[in-house]
Amino acid sequence: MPECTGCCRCSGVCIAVRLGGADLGPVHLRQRIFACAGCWRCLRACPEGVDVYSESMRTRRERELPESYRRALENIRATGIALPVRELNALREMHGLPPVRLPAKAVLRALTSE
Amino acid sequence: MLYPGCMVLTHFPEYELSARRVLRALGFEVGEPESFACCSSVFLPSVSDAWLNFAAYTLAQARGYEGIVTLCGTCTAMLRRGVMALRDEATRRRVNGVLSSAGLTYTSEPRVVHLLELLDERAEQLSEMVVRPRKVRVAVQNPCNLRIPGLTEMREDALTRVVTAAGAEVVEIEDECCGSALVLESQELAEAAGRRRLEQAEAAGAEGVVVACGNCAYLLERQLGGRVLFFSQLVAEALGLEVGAHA
Repeated sequence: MPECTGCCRCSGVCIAVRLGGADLGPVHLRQRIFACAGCWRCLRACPEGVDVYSESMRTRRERELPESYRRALENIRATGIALPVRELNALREMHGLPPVRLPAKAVLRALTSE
Repeated sequence: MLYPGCMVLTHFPEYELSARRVLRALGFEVGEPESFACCSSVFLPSVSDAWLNFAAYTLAQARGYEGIVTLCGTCTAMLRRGVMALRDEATRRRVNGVLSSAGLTYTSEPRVVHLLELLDERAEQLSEMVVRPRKVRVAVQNPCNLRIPGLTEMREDALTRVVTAAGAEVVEIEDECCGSALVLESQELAEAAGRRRLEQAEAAGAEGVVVACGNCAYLLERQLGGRVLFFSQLVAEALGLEVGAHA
């Protein structure tokens, strides 16, 4: 497995770092791990071919989740959709789009289990 | 099978509508998942491996279709991550155990393709179908998640080619992320990133920014008030198809 050498090229292409919103250093190890635009330019910049995406997700699992993530996860567990759902099919009907069905509660329980 | 994703489903019906019209004009029959669930986005992978259950739930519903057409970068990347992870037999067996609660089984790999990639493949055909060139000066915002090495790898300049085929003029701006997902950590950071993009577009003389992802549109238009166009709306208009007014 390719290993991080700490060259920080990932930081150099990071929009959060460029805007001063995240610390320097390899992006998958930084303190503000959730200050991430998810553009994965870091993945493209890494000369060693480190799977920065997987490393970043691993680090996130050891940290406390921001409120925005907790809310999205609650929404997913409740409806299957990450965003709050309000009169979804009324909006669709207005635009001539077919209605959507969301997963049944029992299915959501199964999908969210590991 | 058209998979709009959570953001488009809840905020941008006009994007989905134009996508459907363009797909039909190109001769595709368009269906939808029987039941819609999140691709897992960045949320589930940040907490557990249950993300794969969600990706697989959608992938398994594509049985009988030629493939899945996505409208956002992240959905495309997550569904493709799902396809790759499900190549492992033990993983597939475990996930199929979960999917059985929904009466589904993942048996074959669907092609997961963003509408932009599909239109880029057919840019020549599109040019020939144009009846009302959409003469507008625009900047383009590439969906970052369509350019992940070994996963998505959209052809360079796909958005520029498709938008140009519709008759628009594309002005050059820096190739940067719009920053929309930064909103999950900091509204201020996301707005700073988005404003940079709108300022770059304005300085280059663009009348608007063409996007191919609901998340980019949400930040640039809904939160920052920029003029944003979905590429499929531009194409639909150029093909003379009726499209709903852009919100």
